[in-house]
Amino acid sequence: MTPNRAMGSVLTRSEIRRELVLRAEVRAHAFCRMTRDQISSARRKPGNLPDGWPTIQPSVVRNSEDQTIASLEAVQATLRCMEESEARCFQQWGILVSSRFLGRSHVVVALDRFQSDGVWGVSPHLIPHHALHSPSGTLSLALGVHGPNLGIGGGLSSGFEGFLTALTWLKAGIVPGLWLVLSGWSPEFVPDREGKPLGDCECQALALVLVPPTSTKIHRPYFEVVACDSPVPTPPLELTVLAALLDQRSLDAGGASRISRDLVVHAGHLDSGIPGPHSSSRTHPRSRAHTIASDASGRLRVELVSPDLHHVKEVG
Amino acid sequence: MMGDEDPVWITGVGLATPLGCDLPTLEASLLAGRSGVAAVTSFCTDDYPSRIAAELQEVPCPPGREPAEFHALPRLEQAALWCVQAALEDAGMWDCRANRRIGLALGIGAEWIGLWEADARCGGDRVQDPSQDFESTLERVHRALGLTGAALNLSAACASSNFALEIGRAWLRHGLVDVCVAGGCEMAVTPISLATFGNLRALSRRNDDPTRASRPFDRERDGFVLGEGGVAFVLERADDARRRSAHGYAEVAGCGSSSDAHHNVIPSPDPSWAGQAVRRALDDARIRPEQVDHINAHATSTPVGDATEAAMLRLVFGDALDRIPVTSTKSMTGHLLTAAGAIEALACLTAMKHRAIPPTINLDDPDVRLNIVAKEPRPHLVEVAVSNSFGFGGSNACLVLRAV
Repeated sequence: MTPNRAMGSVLTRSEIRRELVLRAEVRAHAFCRMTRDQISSARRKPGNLPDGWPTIQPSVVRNSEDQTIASLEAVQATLRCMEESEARCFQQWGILVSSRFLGRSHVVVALDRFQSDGVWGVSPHLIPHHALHSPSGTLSLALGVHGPNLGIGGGLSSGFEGFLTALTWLKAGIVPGLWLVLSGWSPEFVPDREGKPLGDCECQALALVLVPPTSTKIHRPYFEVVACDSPVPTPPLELTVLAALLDQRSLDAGGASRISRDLVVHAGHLDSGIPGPHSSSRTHPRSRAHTIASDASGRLRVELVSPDLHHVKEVG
Repeated sequence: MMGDEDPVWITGVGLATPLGCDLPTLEASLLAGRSGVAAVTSFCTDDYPSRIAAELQEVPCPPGREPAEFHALPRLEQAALWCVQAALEDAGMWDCRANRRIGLALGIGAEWIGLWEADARCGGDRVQDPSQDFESTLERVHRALGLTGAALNLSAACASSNFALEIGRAWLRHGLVDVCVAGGCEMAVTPISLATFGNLRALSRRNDDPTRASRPFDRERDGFVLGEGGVAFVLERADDARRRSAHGYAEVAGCGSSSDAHHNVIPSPDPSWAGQAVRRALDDARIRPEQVDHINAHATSTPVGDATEAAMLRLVFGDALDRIPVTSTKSMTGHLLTAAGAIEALACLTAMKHRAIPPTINLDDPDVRLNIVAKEPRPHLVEVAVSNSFGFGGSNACLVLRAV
């Protein structure tokens, strides 16, 4: 495929017309996967943010939905691997959280309690903490960020909708940069009548720090929304797959890597001062662009694109 | 492709509200100071702390659809289908929708909670069976109406609709769509929803006097009244609209947003953050505060929220505020939550068209220093209107509309 340097149409090998519509650069990312026990623990004792950021009080997240807790963990992990000075610049950034089927475990309990106890059995926290807006609102509160916050999607297409919104915000200059957090259960949470999972599942959250393209020579992985003539619908976004792709592309770009059992953290660290080991063995991707999500028609797609490796070598 | 500042017009509207499901009826109701609030009739509310709401009784079936089939759909989907189709018909876009990339950006906040609850009331187990949740309301509407542009569901709680309009405008300006339908839908008057908001102590308990329960800015206000419905706007590039001689209701001139980062439910006592959203919207529209002709306040009728908004307006508009007529149409419509911004934008269009500002009814004893249009509509030329929306999660979003 011909690298697409400017906004406009190019032809791929298969002569399918694709038009670049939106683009954003990945500054950092962190992927978090948590069991319900781990979520309960984090809810009781939320982790610390780096110096210069607010202390997260347990009261902020005491009633939060599981995906909100995982999202906050992923954002915290992202922050920990970024420069402190950058963190202070986030005050007016945007926060977008694309969650999937938020509140399922809570609603099953609410419905049960409504049956047994009536009106007074329904928790007042249902809408404030289990509706689509809740995770982004809680993140803005926990981080003390005053840029706009928005919940996106809510269903199986929430990943695509999240990227579409994020790249729209950046292109329109609504925010200077933003967090996009994608969250959901894998496999999907199936609750019993008490809201407990009937099978093994983990809550996943992928936090992305996205900025507008800084130049035509992009050093880091970037996302594009492209419009194509030919429809190719993709299955719902798998966060583990996207996280692995980002890991690989960050390594290719010389990004930092820190891996733990439950947490995978990366930062493109071409900025000076961001610590992190270099990978000695770079695996070059077979292709620079990878379609990760599409709308229902399959004509509007989100692609993850590798940075210009030649340029990275020059500056690295 | 357009530039970042090229104008975008509203060229079509569709609505399903407690005060009417067509524009002339809604306009007449708003200007007559009619309340849509009454005792809840769709389920038994004997044990509820708040037993009143502005309910949407029945969503009209759009032309070309089979009524029984339509009314078997979830009510949220009915409202969205009706509003979007009506808006496209009003804009003259319905018959040619297949030839244009028509996008869809809707604020829908508690979709899954509502769907799971409705299913459970019918004896279903959808909440425990994720395989039934393969398609969202937005996707179903997009598909059913044969739209081909980008589609997005978003929520900033009660600030959602203004965000949807901003996104729609951005898509048009950057060539992502040819036309965009943007707005919000909310069908929140359900047993669980009324219970959770009631238990949150957010709702008015003036159960014996429903039409006087929603009283923004009044000293005796005691909470908001739930409303439900939807409003959709067709957004179009001004040049395109002129080219086809379309009727322009108004220009979406400015959008601004921010977050309080104070509390999940309670607005920040510091008015500067909400003020930042209003200032951004004014800057975006290249409007100075003194050029604003009218403000449709968010004012939901809660003791804290209304006072905070009044302080914010003073901070942003200064002395100019004394001559700018302010109203809160939630006194009549109730609070449509994610659709609130959309119906209030419609109230602004009503003021522009009729040169008269809809009143804040039930305002007997204001406890804020604002130039409020109380009880009766006020004749007034409106060229530039500001509409505020603030939501749970500390979301603030402001919209500036300019007459065309």
